[in-house]
This record gives sequence, C-alpha cells and structure tokens, in this order.
Amino acid sequence: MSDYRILNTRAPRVDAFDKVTGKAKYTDDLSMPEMLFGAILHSPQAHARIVKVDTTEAKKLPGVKAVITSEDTEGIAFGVSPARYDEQIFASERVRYVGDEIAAVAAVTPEIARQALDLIKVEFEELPSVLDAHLAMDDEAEQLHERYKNNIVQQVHWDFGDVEAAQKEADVIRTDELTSKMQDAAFLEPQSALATYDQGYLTMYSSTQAPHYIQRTLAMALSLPLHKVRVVKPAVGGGFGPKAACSSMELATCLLAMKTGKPVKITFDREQVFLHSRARHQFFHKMTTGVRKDGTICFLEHEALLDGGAYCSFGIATVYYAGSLLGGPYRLENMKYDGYRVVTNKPACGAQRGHGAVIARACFEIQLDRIAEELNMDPVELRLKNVREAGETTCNELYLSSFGMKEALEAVRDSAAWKNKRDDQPDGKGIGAACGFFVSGAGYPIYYSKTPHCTVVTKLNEVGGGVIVESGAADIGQGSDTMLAMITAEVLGIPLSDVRVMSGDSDLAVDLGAYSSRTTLMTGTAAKEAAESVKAQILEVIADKTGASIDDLDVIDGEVINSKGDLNIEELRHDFRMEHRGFRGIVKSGNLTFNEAARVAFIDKGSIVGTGKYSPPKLGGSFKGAAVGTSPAFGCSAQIAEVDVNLDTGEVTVEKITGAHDCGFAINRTQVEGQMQGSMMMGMGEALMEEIKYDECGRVINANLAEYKIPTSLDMPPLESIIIESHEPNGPFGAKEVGEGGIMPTIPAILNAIYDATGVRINELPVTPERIRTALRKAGKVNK
Amino acid sequence: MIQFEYGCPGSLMETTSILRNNPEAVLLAGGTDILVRIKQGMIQPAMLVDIKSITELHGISSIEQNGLRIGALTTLTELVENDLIRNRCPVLSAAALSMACVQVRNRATIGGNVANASPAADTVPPLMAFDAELEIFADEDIKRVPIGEFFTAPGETVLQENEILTAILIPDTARKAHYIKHTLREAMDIAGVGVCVSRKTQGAPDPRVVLGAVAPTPIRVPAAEQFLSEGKIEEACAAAVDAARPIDDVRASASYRKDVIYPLVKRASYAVFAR
Repeated sequence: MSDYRILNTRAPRVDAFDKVTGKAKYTDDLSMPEMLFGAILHSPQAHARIVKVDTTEAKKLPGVKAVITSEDTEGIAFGVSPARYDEQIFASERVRYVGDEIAAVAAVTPEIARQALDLIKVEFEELPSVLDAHLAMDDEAEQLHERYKNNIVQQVHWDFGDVEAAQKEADVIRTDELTSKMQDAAFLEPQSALATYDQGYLTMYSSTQAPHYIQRTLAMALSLPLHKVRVVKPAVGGGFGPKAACSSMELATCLLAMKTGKPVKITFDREQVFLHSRARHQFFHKMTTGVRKDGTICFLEHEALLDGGAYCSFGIATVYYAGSLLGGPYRLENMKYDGYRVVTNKPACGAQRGHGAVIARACFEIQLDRIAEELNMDPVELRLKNVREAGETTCNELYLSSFGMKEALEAVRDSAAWKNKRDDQPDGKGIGAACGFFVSGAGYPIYYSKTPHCTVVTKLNEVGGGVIVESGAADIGQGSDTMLAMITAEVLGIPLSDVRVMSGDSDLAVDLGAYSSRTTLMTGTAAKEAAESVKAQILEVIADKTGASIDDLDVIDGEVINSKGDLNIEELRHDFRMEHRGFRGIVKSGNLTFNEAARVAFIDKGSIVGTGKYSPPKLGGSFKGAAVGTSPAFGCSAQIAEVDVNLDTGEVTVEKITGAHDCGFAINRTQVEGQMQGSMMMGMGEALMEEIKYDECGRVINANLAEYKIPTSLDMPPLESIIIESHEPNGPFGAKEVGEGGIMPTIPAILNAIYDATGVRINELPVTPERIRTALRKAGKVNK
Repeated sequence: MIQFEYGCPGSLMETTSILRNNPEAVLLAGGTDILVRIKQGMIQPAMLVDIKSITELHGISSIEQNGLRIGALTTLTELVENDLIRNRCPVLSAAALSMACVQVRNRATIGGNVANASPAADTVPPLMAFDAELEIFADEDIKRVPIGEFFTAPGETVLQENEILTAILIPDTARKAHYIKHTLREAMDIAGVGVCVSRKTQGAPDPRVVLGAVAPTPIRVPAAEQFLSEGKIEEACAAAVDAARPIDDVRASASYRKDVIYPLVKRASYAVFAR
C-alpha cells in the first residue's frame, strides 16, 4: 500500500449522504418564487419546410406568459465546433428530424404550457427524408444543410507510415466489418434547466456536464457579456457525453426568462431525452489488417462512416477519434484512415463514453481474434506480442508517458484462468479477451484558445481551520468533488472532513467540464497546486513566527511537525487560547494544530488563498486533425468476458467479466472500481441490447426505458475489477483517466466470447438472440 | 391538467350502478397500466371507478379439495409471497415474479393483468394451463367463464360494460407446470414469447400447452397437448410452432418468435415430464 493517508483509500464520497438520503438537489428539484414552466414544441416531421408558424391561439390561453419562435432569436446559429455552427434555437426554414425544436412556451403551470403547445399551428411542406447514411452521400440525395455537400459534415484522410510497403511484408491480410446502432446514454436524470434574468445578469442552473461551454454559448447566442452569464450545475444524475453541449432547450429557457423577467424552468421528459439524443453515433467500420506469421501487426487500413443525425454537434471530433485512437495500444506503424461523418434526418448524435472510439475499437479487437485464429495463435499472446510500453510514441504522434497495457492484459489473463477455459469449454460456453486505449483529457479545448483548461481556488477558512476548494469542475456523479477533497486533504495534511468543495459554478473558477476523461488529471493537478500554495503560505508564517526553517515543517494528521525537533509554539498557542475563551475543545498541549496555524497565518496575512491551474503542454503532430486524440496521458485496459449462449434460442448470458484498467494511480479505489464497472455495464448493454429503433418516417419507436433496453442489476454478472497503477508523470500523484477507457474492451471481449461459444461471427450490434440465430442458420448450424 | 371524475364504491352493487349510469367509466385497480395510458394521452376516460375498497375482491382462499380462489385485486407481490399460491401453484408465483419491478408488483393486480387482455400477459398462460375459471359479477349475479373463452382480441374480452371480474378460480391445482418467459433482459421486460406446459400430477397427464405473445390472445395448442399425452415431445413442439401466429413488433420479429417456440416448448415439456 501507499504512504498516503487519504489517497488510494476507499474514503466515502463527500456527496454520499446527500445522495442516499435524497437531500441532494437536482435542477428539477429547484423552485423559485413566481417561477414559470416552459415547454418545447418539437417537429413531428423528419424533414420538412416550415411554411408558417401561428402562435396566436397559444398566446391567448390564460396563464401563458410567452410564446417564442425563430422570429425571437435573430437567426442565431450555434453548435459545438465553431467551424460548424449549424444549429438554431428554433427551426426557422426547415425541420431536420422528428424532435427538432420549433417553439417554446412559458406558462404558470406545466399543464398550461403543454396545452399551449397544442394550440400552436405549424404548416409544413414535406421534404424527402434521408434516413440512411450510405444513401445520404449520393449525389441525388436531398441535402440537409447547404454547407454540407453530399451531406458530409467532415471527412478525414490520414496515412501514417507506409501502408503500401507494409502490405508486402504481411503474411495474413484480413478485411472485416462491424456496424453499430445509434445509442441512448440512458442517464437517470433527464435534462433540466432553470434560468433567471435580473438587472442584466443571466443565471442558469442546468443539468450539464460542462458549465463553461454552456456559459460561452449562452453569452454568444444571447449577445450578453460573458461575465454577466453564470451557469450553475446542481447535482447531476449522469451525463456520459450528451450533456456536454449547450442545447436549444437551455437557450430557450434563458430566452423565456429574459422575455418574461421571471424565472423559467424546463425539464425534459424521457421521450425528449431520446429525441434530443446527442448520444453515440451509428458507425460502419471496415478494416483491413495485415500481420506477419509471428503475429507482428504490419498495417491497418480503416474506413469509417458515421451517421450523426441532423446536426454536427461533436461530430468532427467523433470522426477523428474513430481513427486516431486505434494508434494505440499496439505497435502499429502503418495506418491509413478514411472517415466520413454525415448528416441524416434523425436525432443528432454527439459524444458518449469512449467518444468515437468504441465501435472502431470493437471492430479492430474482433479482427485481431480472427487473425489469431488464422495464425493458430492464442489471441492474448497475439496482443501481448504487439502491445506498446511507456516511453513509446504511436504512428500518429501520441506519446505514452505511462502505459500499463501489458500488466493489465496479463492480470486479466491470469485472474480469469484464460488458458484453461479457452482450451476446455463445452459447446455454447465461450471466453473472449480484448484491450482498449483512451485519452486522459483532450489536449485542446473545443474552441480555439490558449486558456488554461481549469483553475482551482483554495481558500483557508478565515476564522481558522478547514479549507474551501472552489472549482468549476462538474461532478455529474463520477465523483470529482470527492477527488478534489481527497487531493486537497492529502496535500494539506488535514482530515477529509475539513475540506469543503464548491464546484460546478462558472463564477467560482474556469473548468472545461466533465468530458474526455479530463477531470482527475487536469483539475486534480490544479487542486494539488492550489493546496500546495495554501500550505506553503501557512508554513511560511509559522516558520517566521517560530524561527524554524520552512523546509523542516510539514502538516501531518492535522498537526504542524518540525522534523528538526520541537517547535516553539508557546506564544502562538497563548494568543489562540485568548481568542477562544469560552470555546470548548481548545488544545492545551501537544503540537500546533492546523487550525491554530491557519488562524495565525490569517492574522498575519489576511485571506490565505491558493490558486492552481492546468494547461497541457503542446501536444500532437502537425498533420490536419492532429489535435484530436492528443492527451497529456493515456489510459488502457483489458477485459475477459465469459458467456453462455443458448444455441436453440440465441440467448446470451454473460457469466463474468474480468477487467483491468491502468488509471495511473487510484485516488479513490472504490470510485475507480465504480467507473470500471459502470463502463462494463454500459458496454454489455451496447453489445447485447441497446439500439435506437426508427420507423420508416424517422420516428424513434422505442423512446423510453421500457423498450430501449439497458441491463438491469439482475442482468449483471460478477465483475472483477483489477486496478493497474503505472504512475503517470503528468497526473496528480500519478493519476490518469478511468471514466471512459474502461468501456473499450467490453464489446469486443463479449463478441469474441460469443464466437468462441458458437463458432459464428456477427458483424452487427447489438448481438441480439435473433441475430445469433440468424447467423447460426446461415452457418448451417441449425437443425430442424 | 388531465381531469376525470373519480368514484370509490364500497360494493359490487354500487359499482355496477355507477357503471350503468356512466358508460364512459373505466375501472381502476392497481392503476399500473391505466394511469400510464392516461398520462401518455392514449385514453381520456371521463371517470375512473376505483374498486380497491371492495372487500370481496381481495383475498386468497382454498376452495373445493385443492383449488384456489384468488381475488381479482390480489397484487402480483401477493402472488409471489402468499403461501397458498406458493405451495399449490408455484408457477403462478414464478410468472408474477418475472413481471416488471418490485414497485409495480406491489400495485399491479392479477385481475388487471387478466382483464387488460394483453397477448403477452404473464399470469394468463399459467392460469390457462390450470384450466382456471373467471368469476364475474353481472346483474347482481355471479357467473363463471373458462379463461380460454375470455379473450377475444388484443385488449378485448367477453366482459360486458357493467360486468366486473371478481376472482380467478383454479378448481384443481394438482398439476405440475413450467412457465418460460422469453425476454431480452432479466427484469422490466415484457414477454417476447411465453410458454406454459402443465400436466396432472396423478393419473393420466392430460397436458396443457399454452403460448403467450404469439397470437392475438394467449392460446392453447390442443394438437401439442395430444402429442405430449402420447409422449411425443418433438411433435408437440412442432405443433406449437404451427399454431402460433406471431407479429413483428418493437420487441421481436415474427420469424424469431416462431423460431424459439420449438425450443421453449421443448424445455418446458422436459421440465414438466422429467421424473
């Protein structure tokens, strides 16, 4: 175990009590005097020209305070990437998917607001809709946006190394494909926003992952000075990516508040969560990989098509990530990638856990198993032969400053008794392995900027004692507040209970938000720096007052310790006691406490504030798109899945998943395991169940959690979580990501296990019982 | 605000008189189905008649030699936990346990599950496999209808406007039965296919083969029953496949439903006929 007192333990989360008792306030729990309730009118058409929007009757309904449409928005365009601002708050000329926003209403009750929506008359002129990503690129296809020729939002063409030459060296060359479906992130808390507008200041409480980006978008779209826009994130019930971008709903809430002068709240119902989406794209991958007889990977040629629905959202980053993150974890010096991200008349897709890289990873890891089979090699051995180690740089210039890939793979291999089970299993039972690779924080912000990615302000309580950590970081359930408290307590040598974290508020500090698995490495570094500054300021005063050398002083378990002997504290203690006549529990003997030292320092210097920031070093190569995929560090993981397939019905039971993840260093061991297990659960759902289904008109037919199936607790097998600690030099105390990387191996591990169990390969996700039966039938393995 | 009148009668007589005077009224038992439909705007009943205060609709009792009378308002949780049910008709407990989640099972009733007439209702195949009868209060009178004659189409039954399902009767529980609910996940899921096979525990087996979710109503397959009584399991499975008329829906395709009937009937049959 480590030498740390607080870090690397299983300390309870700082928000556990509030969450468990129901005390925690989520956005929809908030209420204000005179608050109005908003509602949004969504398009029932997948693709249509708007001829006329008539709000006359809606405005007349008693209780309605405002009805707004595109006429109230001055044609503002917004989105995620500044180069692709293709969204409007309300559709003005045409709607592009079933769910596109047309108007919003504010009324004194939610019921009246909904009733008013029914009174808005919209006249449409139907347009041919484009629902198929392949057909979208045809020259004859209807264009969704004038700016996207052939409906292509972004294309990527990369060629690293010399694929042509490498083809000649390969002994085995295989081409494989994998297709997925659009996903829903299925977070528990539907999006909600509450806005107030008072004397030129706009405040929005929102269920968001990224207060900073929301703040910027609101200021830009609503023409307000940035400093007069404040975004506050109350408790959030999960995000997984779709809550990382500013939405029309958030903007509409603000517009309604500005128009009425009253607080306005809008909360999505579950169907709206599905319609708004911004979750995982649909991916079509085709990969050709060549290896030598000894298993050395020679090259990868990769084509990807991403169906992203009606708007760009995060799509540019998504299509880059789909290619760039195959650069690791293996030694792959020659890699060609052609990626296309198109728009179709479906809900817009964005980022979701493992952004862009999950299905590409699945396709590649499944292909590695097929190659291993052709080489008659153990698939784990094939991987071990190719994994990179710390200090290496990938062909697309990603530097691996720490890398426990080999350790992770060996750990799952040994823990799951891979060799025995692989060799000796009855029909229908199978075992499969896979690896994964992910960023630990995107190297660059979404908009061009040299801004620090985050700042932290740590302030000593002025009456003496604990500290307050002020951060813009967004704890969306992943536990970043606990991480900040633990790092601060560790640095200052005080108990965790003496640290209070205030976060998720754009007034407190800058933080790009909870996305791309950045918070522990980046905000953790800033928190460490801020706490170190506070500590140095206190010890400087104590050194001065006691005559000790600051280099000999430290705070341990809440007491100031002088490594060179006793500290002369008589006078300091006398003053402290005089100040606290009548107080109980004032220390009379022993070492100077942190509380005393803090008070002494305050009296001497006034407010003691430490600040920290994180700015990544310059990262990545100079080729086009080199920025996406860069990171100050990379996480990696390996998993082994064991399945039981009923060959008669195609039903799959996952019996166990053994996972190992290199998170650099576990700040909180329980939270690291929680992220690993959450990833495995989400991956299992995507592998076996999850699929947004559309009818022929582009309507989502399973826009609820009854028919969009994610695993329940009864579906989850035992999960073993092995923590690998490679001590990342760029992370606080050696820590790096665990939030997303853990999902990478899950889908391919399960699919490889299903192949081991059935002998049939399925190239379409999710692998439902029906798809297994169809594959078995095609392979002549169904007797009847 | 969704508005409707609310009645809370204390007796069956009172209920039928409310129903006579309010042809638009809808009965409210557990509400797990009807309230969801109202909130989704699928139905707008002018009046809800809450029958939960009517005592004779509650309770589970022993009838005849080893039969059961299960009050229509018996909750799914009671079916799971009640000793009489667990001892005499464990398959019904198992079917109830397979449904929804704890919170819904605490509210949802067996009467509601039967009277809603969903082709995928989980309590129905076990009840049909036990030759259950439905006790119906009509015109101040009580009549009995065999459950196999109760359903006419999805959501449709022989129940008349002022009739109330009061209890489910299982005259003879001396049967061994096995129900398989085929779903994508382990909880919060509706049967893609339901199969229940039963046999008498003494004397000739007199088997029952009932299929759910593969036809407009749950169906018995007499041909399969005949084969089973002759010990021909494979033929019985094939007969069940032939009898099914499934549809495509969001949960499964018709062809897949057909595909799994065979192995499911086989598995259920072995479970029941194994020594």
